[in-house]
Amino acid sequence: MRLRSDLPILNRRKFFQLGALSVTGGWLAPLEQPLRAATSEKVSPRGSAECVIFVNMVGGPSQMDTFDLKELKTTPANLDVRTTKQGLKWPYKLLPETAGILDDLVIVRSMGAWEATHNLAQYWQQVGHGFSAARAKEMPSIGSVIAYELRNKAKSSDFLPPFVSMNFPAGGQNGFLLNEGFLDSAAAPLAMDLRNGLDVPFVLPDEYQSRYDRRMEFLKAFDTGRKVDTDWAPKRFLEWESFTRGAHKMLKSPEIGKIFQLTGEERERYGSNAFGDACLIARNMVRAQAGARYILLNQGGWDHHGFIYGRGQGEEAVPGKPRRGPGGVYGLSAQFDQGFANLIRDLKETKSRDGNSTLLEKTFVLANGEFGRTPGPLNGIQGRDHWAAVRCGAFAGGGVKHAGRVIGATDEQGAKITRFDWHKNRPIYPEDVTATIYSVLGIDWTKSLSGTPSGRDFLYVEPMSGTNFIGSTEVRELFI
Amino acid sequence: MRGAYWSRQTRRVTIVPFRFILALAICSTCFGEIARKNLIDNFIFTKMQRDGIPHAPLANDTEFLRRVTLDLTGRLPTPEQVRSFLKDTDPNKRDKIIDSLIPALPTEGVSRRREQPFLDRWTYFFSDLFRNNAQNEQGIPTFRNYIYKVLEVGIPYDDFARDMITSNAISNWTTGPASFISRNRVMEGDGYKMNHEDTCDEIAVWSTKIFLGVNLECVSCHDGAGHLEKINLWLSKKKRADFWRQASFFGKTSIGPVFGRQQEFIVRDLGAGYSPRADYDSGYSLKTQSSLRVPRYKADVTPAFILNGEKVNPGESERQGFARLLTSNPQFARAAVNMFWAEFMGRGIVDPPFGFDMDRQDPSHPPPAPWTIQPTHPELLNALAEDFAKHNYDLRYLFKLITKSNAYQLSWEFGQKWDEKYDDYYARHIVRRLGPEQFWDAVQQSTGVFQEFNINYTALKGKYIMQAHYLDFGETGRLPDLLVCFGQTDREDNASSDRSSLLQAAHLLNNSLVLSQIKAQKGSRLERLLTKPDKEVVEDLFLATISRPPTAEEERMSLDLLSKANKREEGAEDLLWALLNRVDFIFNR
Repeated sequence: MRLRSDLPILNRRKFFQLGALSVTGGWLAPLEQPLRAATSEKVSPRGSAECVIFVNMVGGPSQMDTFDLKELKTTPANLDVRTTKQGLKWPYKLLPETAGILDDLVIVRSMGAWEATHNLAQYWQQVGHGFSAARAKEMPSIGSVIAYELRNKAKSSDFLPPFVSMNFPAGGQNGFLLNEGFLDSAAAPLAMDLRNGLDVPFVLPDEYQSRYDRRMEFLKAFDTGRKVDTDWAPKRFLEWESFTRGAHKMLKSPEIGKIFQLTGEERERYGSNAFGDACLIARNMVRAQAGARYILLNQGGWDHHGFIYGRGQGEEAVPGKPRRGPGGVYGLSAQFDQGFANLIRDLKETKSRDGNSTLLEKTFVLANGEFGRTPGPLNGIQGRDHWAAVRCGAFAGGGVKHAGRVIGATDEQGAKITRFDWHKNRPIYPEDVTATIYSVLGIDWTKSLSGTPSGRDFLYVEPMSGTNFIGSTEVRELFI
Repeated sequence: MRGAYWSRQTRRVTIVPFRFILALAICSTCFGEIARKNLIDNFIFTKMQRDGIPHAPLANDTEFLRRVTLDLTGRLPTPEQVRSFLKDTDPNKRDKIIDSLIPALPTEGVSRRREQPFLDRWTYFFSDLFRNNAQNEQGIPTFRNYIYKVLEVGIPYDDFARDMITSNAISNWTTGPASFISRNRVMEGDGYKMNHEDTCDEIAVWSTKIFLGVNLECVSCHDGAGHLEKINLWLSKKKRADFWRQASFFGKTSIGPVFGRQQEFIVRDLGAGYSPRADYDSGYSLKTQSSLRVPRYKADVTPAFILNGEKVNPGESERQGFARLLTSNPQFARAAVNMFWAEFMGRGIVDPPFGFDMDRQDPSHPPPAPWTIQPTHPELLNALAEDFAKHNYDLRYLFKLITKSNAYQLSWEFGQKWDEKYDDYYARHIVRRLGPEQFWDAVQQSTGVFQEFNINYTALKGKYIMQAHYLDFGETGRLPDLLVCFGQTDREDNASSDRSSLLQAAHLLNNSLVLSQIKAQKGSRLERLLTKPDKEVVEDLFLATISRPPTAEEERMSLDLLSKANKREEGAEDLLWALLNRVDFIFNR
C-alpha cells in the first residue's frame, strides 16, 4: 500500500526556479511559509570542525569490556588487561590498536541514555530527540539539520552530499531514523549499505567513461520531460532532474574513484569487512573535502544478549590474516579496533588542503552506542542485557583538547556513574551529544524552526527531557 | 484545438514548440468542455466550473494507456498492445481496454495462478496493507493465496473484511484470513508469552485504521484532550477508555502458539470447549501490564464501537459484533473508496487516507473556525461510498468507475501557469513515481530480461515481483537493496514510499544490475530487435519503455545515435539506457 501522501512531501510550498542547486540535487529554495528561526539562549557555537564522523555502535557495547574496563568475577581472564601510559585500565586483547591512539582520544564514562529499547534509543542517537509517533514523519535526522544549516557553505567544487550514512538499513522499520523529515530533499541522507559488497553506483570504470559521456550527452537533449516549463512542471520532475544532476556530478568527479575504490592493502589494514570499508570511505570523503559534513558510520552487532564472551577461545591472530575471535565482544571489538584506530591515525597524518592543520584537527570524531549493558553477573544465556544508566564513548579531533584523558567514572561494577566531571553534574545524555555535534560545526543548537506540517516548532535540541528540565548543552569540557 | 493532444498522435508531425502549445492550451484548458461520463465527472468538473478553475486537457491515447495499465495491473502495456490501441477507431476503446485489463469472474471452475496481472497487482497491494511478512512465516503464501482467491472470485469488500475479522483457525499457516488477526499479536519477555490486552489494542488500531481510515494510535496511550486539539478535532475529544472499549471487542479472542517458539498461531474466541491455550481471563482486563503503552486505569470496558457507541447484539460474538458494526457503518465505504481513489488519483479526497477527522466531514455541520471541512469533495465522497455499497462493495465496479471517468483521464500536462490552489481540484493528473516493485518489473518487462525466482514455501516460480512475496528475493543482496532504496516496505511500521532520492537517480544511471539488464543478451528484447531495421528498433524500444511511438525529432535523434555507434548493438543499448533514464519512464503520468 503506497501511502505516498502520508509523507511530509512539501506540497504546500512553492518551488521557485532552479537557481543554485546544492550538490545533492535539491534546491533549498525559500519555502512558502518560511521556516522562521528562533533561538532561546545566548550560546557561542565553537565551529572548530568542518566535518563530523559519528561511529554508531549499534546494539549497545558493554561498557565494562570496552572503554570503561572492569575486572569482575565474570570478566574472562584473557583480556590482557593492563594500565595504559595515560593511566587507563584497558583490555589489550580486545582493543590493542585503539590503545595505541589513546593520546588522541578523550574517553567519556559518564554518559547515560533515556531508553533501553533499541529502536527508541537509536532514535535518540540518530535524530537527537525522543520518538513521538505524532511527529516522527516530520523530524529530521541530525545529519539533515546539519545539511540544512550548512547549505550556504557549499562550494561549487563540492560533489558529495552533506549527510552520508553507511551500513544502516535505510528503509523499513528504520525509515524514521535516516530521514530529512520536513526539510528539503537536499538535506536527505545518502544512505549506502556496503554489507553486500562495495557495489555503489558512483564509480565509472575507466573503459566506460567515454560511453557514459555519450549516453549522458544524448539524454540531455533527448529527455524533454526534464525541460518542461517550470510554470507548471510537476515538482517531482524538477526534483528528479536535480537529483540526476547531483548524481552525475558525483559520477563525473575525477575524485570519486579515490573515495570508493579501495586498495587491497588498505582494506586489509582496516580489517577487510564492511565496517572497515565504511571507515575507509569516510576517511576518503574527509580527505576529498568535497562537501560531506556528517558521516554516520554504523557498526551493528553489539547487542550481546547471549555469549558475550564468545563460545570458546578462538584462533589467535595470524599475521597477514584478518583476525577472528570467538565472536561476542571479541569479534566486534576486533572489527571496531582496526577500523576506528586506523581512521584516526590516517586522519591525523593527512594535512588539510590549506596545509595549516591535520584533517583530524578539522574533523570531530565520536564513537558510542545507544546504551550500555547490564553489570554484574551474566544472564541465562551468558550475555548482558540493556542498561540505560551507563554508557561510554570516545571523542577525538575537531577541537577536542588535552586528549589522552578520561571524563567521568562509574562504580566498581560499571552500574552507576560516580563522577560526572562536567559542569552540568549529571549524566551526559543524547541531547548533550547532539548539542556538541552542532556546536563544533558552528551551529547554534538552541535554534528552532517553525513551519512544520504539524504546526509544532522543531527545536534542534530540547532543553527538557520528558518533564525534566535538564538544560541540554554542549560538553564544553571536551574542548578545554 | 487540442494542440498538445493531436501533435503526439502521429509520428510524422513535427514537434510543436511548447510556446505554441501553451497558447493553444490556454484556449483548450477550458471550463466544461469535457464530457461527463459518470458521477465522478459530475462532481469534479462542476466544482471546477463553479470556482473558475482551469484544468488540463484529456490525456492522449498513449498517456492514458500507460497510466491505466500500470494502475490496474502494475505492468507496462506491451508494444503490441500500444500499437493495436492506437489503431483502434472505436470511440469506446478506452472503456473497452479498461474492461479487458480487469479479468472477468471465472465461470468454469476456478483455476489457480493463471497469468492475471490484475490479480497479482492487487494481491500485492493488500499483502502490503495487511502486512503479510515474515511474522506470518509459512502462513505467508496461505494468506497471499486467500487474498488472491478473494479477488479472483470477486468477494465483496465488506465480506472480505468480515471474513478476516471473524476468522478462526487451528493454524494461521493453513487458514489464510486468520493471519489478519494473528499478525497483530504482541509478544513479550524472552519467553513466548502473548500480552493479551496489547494484542487486542493492536488489532483494534489496525482494523480501525485500514477499514475506517481513523488512526487511533494516539488515543491508545492518552486522552485526546491536551494533545490533539490542533491535529484532529474528533480525536481530541476521545478518551483512552473509548479506545479500550473498541479494543475490547477482541477481548475474548485468543491467539496462541501452536508449538513453542514457532510463528504459527491458533485463533479462537474463548468460550466453552476447545481452547488449549487459555492462559488468561476471557475478556479485556485493565489490570494487566502493558509492554507497549502507558499503564491502564479503571474504566468501563464493555465493548462499544468508537464511531457511534453501539454494542454487541445478543446472539453474536464480540468479534462478529465488531465486524457487523464496522462494515455497516457508512464510514467503511467512505474510507474504502477514498483509499482506492488515492491509489489511482495520487491523493485522497481525504488525505492522507488514514487521517480522517470525523468532526470535519459534514458540510451541513461544519466544524468551528479555523477548522475546515476535510474532504476536498465531500459530496463526491459520500456519493462514491453510496454507489460502492449499492453495487455490493464490488472492487471491479469501483476501479472501473474511477478509471473510466474523464477526471481520471485528464493529462498531467497543464500547459499554463499552475497555481497551488488548483491542487485540491484534481485539475490535472498528479504524476507518481513507479513504486519499487513496479519499477523493477518495468525494467524487466521493457528489457525482456527476467530473473526467475522461487516463491518461498511453494513449488511455484515467478518472473514478476508482483507475483511474489517481497522476501522471495532474500533479505539482503543487490536486488533487495535496490528495492529498499526505491522505498519498498518491510510490512512492519513503514508503508511503501515513492519518495525520490539522489541514490535512486544514481542507480538508474549506473547501477550494475540495471546496466546488466540493458545489455543485449540471449533472450532479451534487444537480441530479437537487432535482426530488424533501425526504424523498427527505435519504435519498438519506445513502445516497450515509455509506451508511445517516438516523435519525428526523437526518431531522428535515435536513428542518429544508432548509426553513429561503433557497433549497432552498442547504439541500441545506449538508446535503451536513455529511455530508461527518461522521467517519463520512472514516473507514471
